[in-house]
This record gives sequence, structure tokens and C-alpha cells, in this order.
Amino acid sequence: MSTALVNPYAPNVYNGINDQSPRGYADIDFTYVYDVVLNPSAVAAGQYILQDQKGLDNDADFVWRGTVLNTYTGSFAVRFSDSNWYWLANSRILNTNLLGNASAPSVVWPEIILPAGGRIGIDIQDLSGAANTIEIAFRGVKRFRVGQ
Amino acid sequence: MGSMPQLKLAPQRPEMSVVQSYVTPPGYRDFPFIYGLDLSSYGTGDTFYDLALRMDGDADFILRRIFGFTLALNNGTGKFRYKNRWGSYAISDPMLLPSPTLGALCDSWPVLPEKLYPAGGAIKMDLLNTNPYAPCTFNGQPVYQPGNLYFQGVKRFPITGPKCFYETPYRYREVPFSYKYGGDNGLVLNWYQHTNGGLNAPQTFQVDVVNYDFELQGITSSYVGESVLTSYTNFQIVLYDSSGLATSNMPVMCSMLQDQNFALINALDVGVFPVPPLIYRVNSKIKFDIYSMVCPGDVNAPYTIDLTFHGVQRVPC
Repeated sequence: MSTALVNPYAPNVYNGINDQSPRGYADIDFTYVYDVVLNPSAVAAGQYILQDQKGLDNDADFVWRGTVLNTYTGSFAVRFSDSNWYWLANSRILNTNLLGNASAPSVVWPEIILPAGGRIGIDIQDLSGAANTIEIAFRGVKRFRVGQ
Repeated sequence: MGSMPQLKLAPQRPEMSVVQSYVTPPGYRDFPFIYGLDLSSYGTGDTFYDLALRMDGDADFILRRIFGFTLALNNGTGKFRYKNRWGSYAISDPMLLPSPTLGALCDSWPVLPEKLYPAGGAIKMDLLNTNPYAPCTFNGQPVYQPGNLYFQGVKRFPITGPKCFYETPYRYREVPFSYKYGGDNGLVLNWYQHTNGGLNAPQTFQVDVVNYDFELQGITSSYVGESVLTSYTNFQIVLYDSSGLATSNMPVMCSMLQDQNFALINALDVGVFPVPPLIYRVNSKIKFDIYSMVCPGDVNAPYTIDLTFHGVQRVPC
């Protein structure tokens, strides 16, 4: 083994981080994308609430480590749950308090392990009063079981 | 007896304070490399499924970052997702990239854990609603620039032969040092992107590495006499190591390699390159090709660029 040169100006991810998968598993970078259009034209602003979910694939558990509010055309509030509908906040949180981009997502710490075939629950409310196109990315890894 | 007053140090940048070592497999060394996807032969508004970016046959590629969405896809309707080497998707659904809301802030997509693509293999991806970058027009038609979407990481070469190209054979200490091309004259961009719609060839430049070995850790470029750094409208670059090996398969937008640690940046400057650093032995040359993106008829041309290579000198001790 040899230690690679490190560029001290680059984030660790670009310098390389050695495999941190638990023994017997392989972690693979993965992102779940949730798209929704909240169209509250029939009701007043602040009254449109959707209890939704993003279903997870059956092939592997998902280790959720970050959230990116990638796109929105208006203000909204949201909270998330694990696969057992255990909400991770007591109330919906304004989108500006969950800001993050792909390089610096809103961190989920400690990470949450969601079972294959499970879900991320999403309780979301438009606050703009207009059609609101929203895309949320859940970043993390798929955790595959591998041979010993 | 009173306690000694505590000396309070300024906080370090987080990424500077937790730099960690990366261990390569035995018998291999990592070489910084960028694969670019060229959409210049396609038009706008195209959609591709399973579009393959072929890897060179000389080494496996370890993917750590994707960038350049703003140069490849429509801002608002463009979507992207890509696949692992065995064919499954790494993103569940096509994703709005560049983000219409976050824009350039979401132009850099870290890949963690890193993904390996074997030599001769391919990175396959879906691109919805392309919009390749065209800095100039000719007869009313866009003249596209090769190199749109980039995949940054390392090529993993087996260690063969002498290590003299990438190891310093003496004990040394590191001293911050920068090489600026052209000294006070800078680099003069005095040729155009195209002639009658046909892309002009690049020009090759080099900087002599003198006195001691040099470890290159970052690149910056800026107009001379301007307070803003070079935008992505002026040139692309291909950087070579001291043995003449290119660090990318096609020219890369200068702004995408702009190192934000050394200078003020604009919103599009999100890059750090090369990672890991490149070693240039004393008396070798930092060689690079410049592809102009200055349009014919530009009243401000020629442009004088301050192109600087930052890093450390390895001074014997």
C-alpha cells in the first residue's frame, strides 16, 4: 500500500476517502429524487398540505446522509420521516432553513438507515399560494450485502 | 502560581484541518484526470438515454466529482442521471441539473463513496434537454465548444519503471510558491475561437520549473487590470504533467478549474485541480494547451490573462 499525495486545498472527497463500508457490505453512492408540483389554486396560501412518500428500491438498504432542496419555485415548508413514519421534526420547517446544495447538503446526522423497500415520509406544505414545482434529493449510499 | 494565558489561534478552514491520507492499492499510483463529454456535434434540446462516455484503455478511472451541468444542459428543463459500472442507476430519477433554483451552486456533484470504472469501460448517462455551450456564432449559427460535462477523478496506473517522474529524490521542506506564465507580460489571447465557423487549433505554452521540484496544487486565471476572475467565456485548457501526459481527454473550461482557495471567485468557479497534486521535477516544464473562446470581432480583444500555477517548492534541507 502507498499513501497518495494530498492536495490540502481540495475537499476530502476529491482527494479520496477509502472505503468505509461495514464488514460484509458495500456502500454505493446513491441519490433518491422526489419531484412534486404543489398547486394550491383552489385554496388559500398556506393551506395546501401533502402527506407523501418516496419509495425506496428493493435491492438494498439506504443510508440517508444529506438532503438537497434542489429546485423550488416558491416558498414551502417540509418535514421528513423514516420508514416507520417517525417524523424527524415536530413541525414542518421553512425551506430556507434546510438550504443545501449537492456539495454541501443539509446534513442528516447521525445517518438514518432505511430498509430496502421502505420509504421516506414527506409532509409538505406550499406557502407561496401559486403553483410550486419542487425537487428534493436525498443523498446517501445504498448498502449492499456482499460475500464474506 | 497563575496559569499561563491561552494563546487563541484563528480557526482553520474545516477542510484544511481534517485533511486525511488516502491509501492506494499496493503497486498503484493515482494520476489526476478529467474525462469530458463532448456535445458539440449535437444541437440544443436533444435527449439521450444510455449515452456512453468511453474510458481510455490505459487505466481504471476513479470518479469523485461531476461538474459542468451549466455548459451541457438547459437551465430549467435539463435533467441528468448516470449509472454505476454494472449498469444500475446512481440517481433514482432524472434530476434537474443545473438546478433552476441553485444554479451554479449545484454545478458540482461530489461522488462519495468514489466509483470505479474499468479501463476501456464507460460511464453511461441520461441527458434530457441538452444545451451545449456555444460562446460564438457564425452566420447566425452557434459555434459550439467541445467539452461540456466533466467527470473528475484519478486514473489508477500500475507502478512500473523508475519513480523519478513523481518522487523527489532528496529530503525537503515545503515552501509556498507560485509560477505565473509570461512573467509581467501575462498570457495574451490574441487568436479567435473559430475562423468562418471552423474551430481554430489550440496554442501550446509552458513554464520552466527552476531551482527545486514543484508540487502543483491549484490554478487561477484573471484578466490583467480587472478585478474579476476570468469567466468561462475566454479559454479552455489542457494541462500536462512533466512527462507530457495529459490530465484530461479534452479541453476543460478554465473557470471550472479555478481554485477558490487562492483568490476571489465568481459563482461559477467551483473547481480544484489537480487532485492529487502533480509533481514537476526541477528543470521540467509545466506545459499546457490553450483553446481560445474569444469571438471574431470582439472589440475588447486581445485579452491579457494572468494565469498562475500555485503550490509548493520542495526545498532541500
